[in-house]
Amino acid sequence: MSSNVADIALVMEQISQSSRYDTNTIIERAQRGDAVAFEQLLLAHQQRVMATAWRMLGNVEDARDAAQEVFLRLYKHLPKYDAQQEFAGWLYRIVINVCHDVARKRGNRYLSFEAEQEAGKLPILASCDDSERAAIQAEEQAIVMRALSTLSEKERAAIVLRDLEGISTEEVARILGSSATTVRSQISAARTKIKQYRDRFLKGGHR
Amino acid sequence: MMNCKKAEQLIPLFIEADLDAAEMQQVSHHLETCAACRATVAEFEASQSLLRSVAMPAFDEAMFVEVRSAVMKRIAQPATRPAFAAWWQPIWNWKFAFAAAVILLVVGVAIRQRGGKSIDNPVASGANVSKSDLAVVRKSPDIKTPPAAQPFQPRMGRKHQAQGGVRGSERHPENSAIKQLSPERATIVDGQIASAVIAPSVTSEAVSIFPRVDTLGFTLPPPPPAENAILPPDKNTNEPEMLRMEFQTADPNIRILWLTPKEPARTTPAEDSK
Repeated sequence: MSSNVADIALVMEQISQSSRYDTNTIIERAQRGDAVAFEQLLLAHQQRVMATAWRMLGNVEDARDAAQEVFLRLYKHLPKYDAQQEFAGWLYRIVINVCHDVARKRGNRYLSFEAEQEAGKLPILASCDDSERAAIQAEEQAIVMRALSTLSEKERAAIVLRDLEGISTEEVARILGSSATTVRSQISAARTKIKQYRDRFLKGGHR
Repeated sequence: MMNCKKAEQLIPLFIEADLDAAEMQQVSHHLETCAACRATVAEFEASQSLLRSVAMPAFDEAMFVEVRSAVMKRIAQPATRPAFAAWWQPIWNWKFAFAAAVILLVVGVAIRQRGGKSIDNPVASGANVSKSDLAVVRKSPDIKTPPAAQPFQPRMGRKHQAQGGVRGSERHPENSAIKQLSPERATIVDGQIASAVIAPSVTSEAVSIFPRVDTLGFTLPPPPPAENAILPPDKNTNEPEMLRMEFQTADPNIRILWLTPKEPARTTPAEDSK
């Protein structure tokens, strides 16, 4: 039994190393101007880029524009990418910078989830088994959306990367180009604001 | 021993294990004895759960295809872009365009005013020619009314006429297109020409290539009959033969007029004998 587990672990490690090797190979080829390799990079990261951009900007149209700009900047800066860095973190940095630019261009309008919700683009979670529960869940989502829209640019970036993308605090600090202490402070402030918003809403008798 | 105030500061980070090991242990010890802080932790955990409950929209594959193809198309282009365009593009914006337009306008007015001083006709004294000035020119006794049946011919200024100037369009059948202009267009030409008496000089060219400032802000008066614009032919002249070219711009109020001395036509001895 224990030997089976060890075998599985070994195979998983080999797959992981192989995947990393493949990724590095693709990046190297893309750095040399291989368009096919670059498109493979886009395919591999498009979902992540789009999701992060949507969480930062709050609507699909802006997220799509941001994703396009991210890939153009990726192409521009790819020759400068150092393989010693983690590629995903490097890419996140581009995504966050582009999202800030897009938001500023739109007049600092971050997170317009409500428009998405009104347009019926936000799905209700699959676990909803009755209309009352679905209504409650929609209401809770609206609370989070509004709460997120109250955060500052840096707080939002920190909370999206740490709590929604699941990246460690140290890595978030590297991505945002600040210290871990600063990022912890931003995350703490953001979590507190979201909780306070939720508390106000619940005490207001909306539920 | 940690107090509640300190614990409340650390709880937002404690709930996701964002504190170092020592701080995590201190908060844990405090929570064992403090029900209020345990309640706060529970609220933060519920809030975090709520934050993560936001469901993302399902991104359409067609949208990814669109984004990828747009990117691949764009990155295929930069090699063909000239280097100067890359330098030019960042500074090109509406402010720059506006500033350039203002500079061009000022230079144009300055050249025109400078040109107007060299012409002793008051009507031609620059950009301040008004509608009434135009009317005066039209009513001037120097401008003789031709027979009504004659087709339109572009009018020369009074000074040029006084010097016995000969219109190029009269002598040159290749300019007959000017004569076939409609009365409305002919009137506009009349308005443009009447604002400045054209002399065969460099300044007259400068006057003619810039649109009149005073025509930019108002519409020209209703077109008078075409025959008012016609001058009688004056063939007794020693002045050099003039070539006249007119271009109608997209703006019906602006017509570019170019008047230049024409080189004498080269004729063969055989033609001279005829």
